[in-house]
Amino acid sequence: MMLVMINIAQLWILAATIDAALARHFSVLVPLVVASGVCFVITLSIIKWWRPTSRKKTSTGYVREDR
Amino acid sequence: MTKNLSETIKHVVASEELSDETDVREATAPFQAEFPYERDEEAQVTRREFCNFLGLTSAALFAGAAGFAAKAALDARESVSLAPARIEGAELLAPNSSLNFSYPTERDSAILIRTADGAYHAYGQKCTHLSCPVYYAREHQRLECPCHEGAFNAATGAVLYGPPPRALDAIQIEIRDGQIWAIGRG
Repeated sequence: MMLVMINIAQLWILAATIDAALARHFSVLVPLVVASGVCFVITLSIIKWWRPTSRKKTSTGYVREDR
Repeated sequence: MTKNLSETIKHVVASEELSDETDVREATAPFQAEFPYERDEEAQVTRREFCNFLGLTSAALFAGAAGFAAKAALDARESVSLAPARIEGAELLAPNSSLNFSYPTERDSAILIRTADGAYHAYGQKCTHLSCPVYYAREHQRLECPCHEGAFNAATGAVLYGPPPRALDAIQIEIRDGQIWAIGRG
């Protein structure tokens, strides 16, 4: 869900970048590209390091026992 | 049924090698066996595959933004040096009137205005809202866009009212031996 939200934000940034480029507002292009890059880095970080909770443990740390 | 389920739970919970992150299909195979459909015949997308797809989408959006910015920067750099062009008939233009011409290429329509005080001003004719051609309204002494009722100052090109987000693209002009020349973009 987080990744989808970041993608939507990046889509919005891309639209703003195209608008700024066509309107020749060059001063805002670099911040927009940087913002998009930050979103990309966050996305990569989530994909690289995020892991679901273990099947062995519950959210409270309780270790499930074999039945 | 209960025995199978118990064995499956033991198999998955006890296994250190199987993980739904590294090989979700293998890890969940025992669970899938409980359901009466052929999983392989369906176009399933695992969580990890979906995340990877979102990562690729993110990369593509970043590349698109960077590409558009780079192209805009290159275009801006190229437009610095434009060849001067004489505006035919401009010297005969009466005060408070306008003349259409093309600059810097034949496809770029522009408008030359001679205001009531005799000064010359030139702009690209595309409205900065949605590129409709602007015209000089003599009675109001301003440039107007007929599409969405935007208006621009004839002397500066600045927006007077309406939806245009910025001023018109100015064209630099110069008087050489009584002739009017367009020499670049302002």
